[in-house]
Amino acid sequence: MAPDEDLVAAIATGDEPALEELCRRYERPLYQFLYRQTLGRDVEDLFQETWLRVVRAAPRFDRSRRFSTWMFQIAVNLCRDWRRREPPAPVDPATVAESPDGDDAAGRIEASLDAERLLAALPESQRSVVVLRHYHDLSVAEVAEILGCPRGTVKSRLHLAMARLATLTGVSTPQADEAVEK
Amino acid sequence: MITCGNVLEALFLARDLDPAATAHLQECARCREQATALAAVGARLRAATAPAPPPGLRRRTLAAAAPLLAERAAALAHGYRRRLTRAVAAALVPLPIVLALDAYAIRTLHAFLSALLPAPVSAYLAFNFAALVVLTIALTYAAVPVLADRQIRLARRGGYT
Repeated sequence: MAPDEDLVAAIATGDEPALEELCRRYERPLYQFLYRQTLGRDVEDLFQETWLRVVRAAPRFDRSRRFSTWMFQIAVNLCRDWRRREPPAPVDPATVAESPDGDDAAGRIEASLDAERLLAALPESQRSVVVLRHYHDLSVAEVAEILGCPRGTVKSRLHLAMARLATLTGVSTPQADEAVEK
Repeated sequence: MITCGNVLEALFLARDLDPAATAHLQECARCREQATALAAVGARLRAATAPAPPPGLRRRTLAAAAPLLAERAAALAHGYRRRLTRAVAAALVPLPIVLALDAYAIRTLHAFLSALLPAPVSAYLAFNFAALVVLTIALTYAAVPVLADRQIRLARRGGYT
């Protein structure tokens, strides 16, 4: 099986089967990343645009880098552009813990706190970090490279995000509360 | 010595805990509480399954990218032809001088040999020398496109690094 980086080199020469293979490998992770980043809006458009940018930028691809990191970086930049054009629907964190029915607090939380709404309650910068770290299992260094920020920033964003999520899911702890207040 | 800070950092960064951190968790109630809370958050996040890509998305994406790929392939082919033509043209520039020098050398050799040897022998030797020169020139010029092609490919590969 050809390494991703060789396929990018082939794409740079206009090789369509190479693009098909790479697209097949990353179809699901990329689609799901975009879905979580945009909360399901305009995912197909962004998916296609990501691949078009991959094709356009393929001749400039640095083979010493990992393709997946590069591709996610393109996707993150596209999501940023998209967000500037399409301001996200405001999410009130308080509504995340609202209950559709019932009095039992635990049941209420269980019923209403789905992960999508939890992610929606996070600021975009924290959501990117959580999605890349938790769903795509990327290291802090890789996340930092994709987002173009220092590792320390990734760590602090992840810390804040997890603390906020802990609070929202009703499992807050003193540590989480302190972090959210900060 | 592992501290609460080390353990909490690993927990918040969703890193696997090493044996020392795991042992610390068993002794420290505060960290244990934090670990339980974050495990609950992690489980909640993992419960979310983003939908699979819709059928036909890859096909539509490839169709959208096809003109770009074709454009790139055509541009490369055009660039390749141009560079190959330039290489062959550059190699042809000195050819008249080479041929003239070779012709002069053959004539001189023939004249020199004619003074020393019988005419048929000197003609035979001069003919052999001429054939050798022609063969060398033919092989050299046949190698020009091959070498140029290799250089173009190497340059392209170098462009990606």
